[in-house]
Amino acid sequence: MALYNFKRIQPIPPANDFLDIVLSKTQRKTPTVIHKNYKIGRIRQFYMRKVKFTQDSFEEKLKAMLEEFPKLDEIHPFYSDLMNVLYDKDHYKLALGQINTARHIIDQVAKEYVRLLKFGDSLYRCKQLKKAALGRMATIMKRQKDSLAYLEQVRQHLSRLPSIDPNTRTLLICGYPNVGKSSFMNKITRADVDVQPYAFTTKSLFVGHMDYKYLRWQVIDTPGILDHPLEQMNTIEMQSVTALAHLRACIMFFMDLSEQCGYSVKDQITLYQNVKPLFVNKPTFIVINKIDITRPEDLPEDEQLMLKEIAEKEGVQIVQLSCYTDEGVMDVRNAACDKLLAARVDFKLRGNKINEVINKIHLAEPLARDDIPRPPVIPEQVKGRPLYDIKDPKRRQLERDLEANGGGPGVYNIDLNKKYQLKNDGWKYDVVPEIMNGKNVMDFVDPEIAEKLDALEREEEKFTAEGYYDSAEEMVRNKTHRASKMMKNRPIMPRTAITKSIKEVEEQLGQLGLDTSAIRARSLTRKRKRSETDDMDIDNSQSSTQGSRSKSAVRSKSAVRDRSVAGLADTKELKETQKRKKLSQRKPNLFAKVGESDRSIKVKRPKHLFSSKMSNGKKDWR
Amino acid sequence: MPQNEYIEKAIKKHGRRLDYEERNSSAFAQKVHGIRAKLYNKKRHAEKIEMKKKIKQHQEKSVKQKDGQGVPEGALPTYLLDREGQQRAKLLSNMVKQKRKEKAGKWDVPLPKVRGIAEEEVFKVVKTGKNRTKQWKRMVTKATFVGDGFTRKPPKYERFIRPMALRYKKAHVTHPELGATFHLPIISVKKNPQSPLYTQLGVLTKGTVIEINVSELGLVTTSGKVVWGKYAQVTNNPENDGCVNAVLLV
Repeated sequence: MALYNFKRIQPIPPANDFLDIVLSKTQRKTPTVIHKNYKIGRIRQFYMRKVKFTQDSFEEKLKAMLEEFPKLDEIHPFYSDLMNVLYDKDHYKLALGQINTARHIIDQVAKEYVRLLKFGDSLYRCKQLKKAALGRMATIMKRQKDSLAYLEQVRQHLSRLPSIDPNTRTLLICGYPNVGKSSFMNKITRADVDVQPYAFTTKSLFVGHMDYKYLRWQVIDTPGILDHPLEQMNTIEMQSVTALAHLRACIMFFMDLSEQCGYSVKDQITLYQNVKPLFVNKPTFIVINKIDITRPEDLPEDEQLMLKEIAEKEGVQIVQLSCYTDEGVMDVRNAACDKLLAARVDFKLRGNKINEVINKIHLAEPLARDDIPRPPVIPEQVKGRPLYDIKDPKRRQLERDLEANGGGPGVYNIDLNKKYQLKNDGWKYDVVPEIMNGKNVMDFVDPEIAEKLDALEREEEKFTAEGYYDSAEEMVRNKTHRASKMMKNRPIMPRTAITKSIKEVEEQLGQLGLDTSAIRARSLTRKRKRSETDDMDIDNSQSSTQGSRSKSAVRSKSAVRDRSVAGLADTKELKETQKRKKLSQRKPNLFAKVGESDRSIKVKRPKHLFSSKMSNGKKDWR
Repeated sequence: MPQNEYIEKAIKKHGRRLDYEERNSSAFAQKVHGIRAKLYNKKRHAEKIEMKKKIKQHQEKSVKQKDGQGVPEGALPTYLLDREGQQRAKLLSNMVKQKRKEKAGKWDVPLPKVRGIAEEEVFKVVKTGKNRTKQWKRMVTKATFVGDGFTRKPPKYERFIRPMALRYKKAHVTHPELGATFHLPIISVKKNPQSPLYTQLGVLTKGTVIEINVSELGLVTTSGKVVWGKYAQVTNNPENDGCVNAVLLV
């Protein structure tokens, strides 16, 4: 529905109002006063801004206009044709084209005058140039007076067009004037179309909506058409032809056999023959109206024959109704809707879009592997149960019945425990305490607790059977493990506190009766080795165990790694880092900073800034 | 759903409220202020004048009027006699005009007098040199005409700069007898009354006589040759208006 809604186009003011709007906007939104002390550059700027601003507002308005109006090539062919019929395509395009040209010319004028303003050497000249620029823009717009007026009319008419959705389910009512098209429309929808006893009461398309089969249907009432060639048709008739040509709808061709409309039955049949090419591939009905006056059976032989011929040859269904007595109105409507629905489904099935849908829907039907019948399984218990019959006094008691017996709604209290599935039925009404021994029962509920316990016990049994707990070592391991865990959160004695001299160690070990010579020997050998390797080169990498050992020993005391070169691959990187280092030190050095934390200000009042005789407050920039 | 001419239909069915017109205008008049009020009042003023005139016209129709043209026959009082002098007065003024025309001389142009323009107004001093101390360059700040064949001197030695933005190639020329205006190309600047230097530079100011290419108009001399160059005088200040307007000298 929202796809073709032309109500949103903004109103277009007539040329004079348009100018007032734009110029007053310039007046409101740009500065208006030039003061005496303004430099010429500022004055130029002032007027350039005015010119540019005006051009911008023109541009904005015109562009919005061009964008809002529907482009005939982009909308549905039904609408583009309808617009062609109503507003004349050429005229419409010309008007929009002129607006577009005006927009470009205004743009150029603004550019030209801004360029001229750059050479403005006096206030007077700048002002004159601005005036000339705005004047020229205004003239250009004034010339668009007629286009604007035309477009405003088009807009108004467009916005009042019924919003027809060209793609939805549609019943299209057509026929000679005064045959009862609008009456039928009023019968089946709520659209309040004017019905009068003269021809061409309906001068344009009307839309109504109705519901059938839970679907929304669109009914379009068209103005009557007369039987003459396309070139001679007027705007009113052309509207219905457009609708007939472009809407894939169910066509309902109305006929009046009573000839009260002023056209003979033969004329009506020839009209049908002439407009028939518009009905191809569309479900078509010939609707005979006013059967309260004349029925087809009352017609003369030859006319009856003609009708029958059409029905037989072209597969067109002939239906009858009377809007006056309401006879057959709903039947006709339903028949038309059903046929259209079938046609639409058929059309969709034939189109290539259907593949997308069909690929998604897949109904798998397994092939029969043998002849064994596999009927649905119904338990015996259910099979034997008598059918539920509300009139039977001995029927099953439903919850509803219980409620009725127990005092009705609001009194009867439903028994929720009744259908609990428990191991023992006696438990159904047991009360489960919420708190027991000061503990929330729910905290200890575990539906699988029995299984878990069971599993644990089985594991234990298995371990004992395997002799897992026999070895004491394992037990100890487990114990130390536990101990280390326990130690985690305790203060730990620092290592320095437990340093012992070799002498102490010897004494203690001696008391225990152990041999201490190895310890003493180690310290002795170390001393000697050190004296030996005194002059050894630190960087000398020896692969022998002795060398590395000694090296490590030496290093632990004296070799300090140069951290400034740590992590650098080669000399290139080294140079780069040194360069950066220097650079980063430059500024602190300049201000004689000690380091990056030095925030001291060396000279609070630098001589050169305070040496002049000027007193305070003479210059605002110092 | 309202569709098509539903507004007209509703008006037809229910009519408009009685004070519709009045209400619409007065509501706007009460609300509006600022520049829109000014515009509105101006419009309203004009409308009211129009309205009053119309009312008067209608009233005049109904009121009996004196017969203005009826001149009493017979002897006229003296104070009515000089009404006949009308014709002669006109003749006299024509003669005076003729004489003036003769006096005017060769350059009989629509704008015989022009305002003097100082050089400072026309030329802007352009400072040059490394320290911007040299001041011998000038930029023309008026509209100019520069011929097709013009080649610039080397920019270093160019004394007069004529900016591209201020150059004009075409002028709006009005033919005084036809009363029509054409957009025609300029051929040359014949004379700038301000100074021969301006003529040389092709400066277009008010009163400048320019040569115009009129071949588009298809003018023919008495001998049957097609005229293609004609003089015209500039009637506006091109630097203020952004265009050159001229009157053809015929």
